[in-house]
Amino acid sequence: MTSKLATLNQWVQEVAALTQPDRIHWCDGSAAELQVLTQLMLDRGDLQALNPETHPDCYLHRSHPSDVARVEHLTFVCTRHPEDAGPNNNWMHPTEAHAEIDALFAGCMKGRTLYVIPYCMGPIDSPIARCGVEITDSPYVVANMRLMTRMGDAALARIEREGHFVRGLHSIGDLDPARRFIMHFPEELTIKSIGSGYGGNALLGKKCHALRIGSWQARSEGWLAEHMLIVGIENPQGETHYIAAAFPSACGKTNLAMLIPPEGYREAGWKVWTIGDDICWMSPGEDGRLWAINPEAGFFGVAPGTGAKTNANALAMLNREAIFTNVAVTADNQPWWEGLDERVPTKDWKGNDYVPGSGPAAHPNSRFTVAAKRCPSWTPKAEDARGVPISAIVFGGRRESLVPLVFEARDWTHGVLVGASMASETTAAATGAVGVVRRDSMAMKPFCGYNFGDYFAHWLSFDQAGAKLPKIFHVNWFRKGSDGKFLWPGFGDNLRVLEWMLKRCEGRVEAVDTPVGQLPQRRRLES
Amino acid sequence: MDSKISEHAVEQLLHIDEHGWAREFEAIADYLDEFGTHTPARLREEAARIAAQLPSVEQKVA
Repeated sequence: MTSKLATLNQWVQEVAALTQPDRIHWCDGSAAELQVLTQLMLDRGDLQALNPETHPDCYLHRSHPSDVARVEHLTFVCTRHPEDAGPNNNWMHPTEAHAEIDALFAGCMKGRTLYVIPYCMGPIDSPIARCGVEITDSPYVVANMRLMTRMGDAALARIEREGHFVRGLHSIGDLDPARRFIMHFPEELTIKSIGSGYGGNALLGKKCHALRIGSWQARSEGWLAEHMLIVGIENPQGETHYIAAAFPSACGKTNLAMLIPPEGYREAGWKVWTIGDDICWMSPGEDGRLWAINPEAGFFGVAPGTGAKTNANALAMLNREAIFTNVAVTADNQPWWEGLDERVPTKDWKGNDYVPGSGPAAHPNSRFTVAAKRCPSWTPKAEDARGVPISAIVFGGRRESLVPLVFEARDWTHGVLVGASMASETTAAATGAVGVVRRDSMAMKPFCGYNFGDYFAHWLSFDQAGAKLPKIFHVNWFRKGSDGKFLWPGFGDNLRVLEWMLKRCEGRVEAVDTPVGQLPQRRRLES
Repeated sequence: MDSKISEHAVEQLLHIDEHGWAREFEAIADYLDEFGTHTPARLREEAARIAAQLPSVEQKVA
């Protein structure tokens, strides 16, 4: 098979000439194709079937023990001028970068199949969506891309119609960390990644395309590619407001996206709808509002900490058609991770017998991959080609002191400053030293594909006559009292804070003005 | 999950320590400087506008 698009055929031929695969397979995204690939991976030992009674069509993948996370020090943004990549990125000149990484790609697919994956980031008919093609030698990547993106024939048809696409070349190489690179060429809308089979390094639609290349495309085309969840809050009157929120890792982004309202709210008729848990593409609509899509079609979530109390919705979607990476397993072959329940697993994430007390059984960055539609709080609005209108943008960090539970920015400019100043604090608990504050503007530090200074200017540029921009807020769920304990219960109770924000958006509640922003009146949070 | 949140906790959650924020805005200004001339002037001016409403940061003893 080939494509009707000559530039795509030519690129596939060039890559094949460099990497020398035994076979080329064009992915159509069908169920039959997935079945063949799954059997192949089971035969090769890349996948292991989990308990078919409790977890039908669920599989476990164990990665190489040295290949378990993104690798920021091996991730480069390769622009002609270093200033365009900015101090927030590792930089290499494109000529040098291509030469270095192409040498690693030479002959790397000998004995392997080259898979061509056409994919669409966002609803297939959405004007906000953008397409790409990933070439990989990993069937595990194909299976994950099928869950995480709209992959196959429909995407290829759109690419042939549009005539252009983001190019992503990936090989697991020999998995040697010394021969591992994740390189981005935004001026060429190209990604090259070798030496890792792990999520963010290998599923090129996610961080590489949807954020690093996406942020570059967004700047040149006048939209925003952001590291944000999208959640819909429906009030008892049946009106739904959508909120986009950016948090650094380990701040509960997936939990907030799948929030379950506290009992009192549920009884009153409040509902929470999940559009996305990680990435948000926003574009100004004709009505001046920002309209957002989730470019992804699935969740690639951190497993540890996911339990009935922290995220019952996530748990409910993980018992069918899911891929688990680097989790532990129980005696009856069910997936298990720390924070799930009190059972004791028998095998750790490396497949060794688990000895209680010998450290975590699941890798702390172990993951699940599952289609978004399997989430109980998923809404068909996630498939709406127009996207959803955003009422509020929320930035948040993990700060033990100083930063209040919530405040509202005075206007767009102040809001952009709030996002740019976002930070998390790490406490050196053993020494009792004051926490080190690490800035992570808009939670985009590892993901912005160009100079942060230019990125801030791009954000400011949306403040134009006729624009009806969302209000911007900052939250901090992690403030501690003088007794060293968290002051806020978090989880479902976070809905109280979101409710206050939405009342502010509707102009139905007063705020207290302070130099750093506008705060709720105290009685609005007491109950 | 429908926990009561005490008056005292809410007071601490919403407390603004203006001296602490003055130091925070000093750090924010330094951070914005890391991107040199690429940082938009409007953002620096906004940070300066807020800092001007906060108490001045005490001189560090050399």
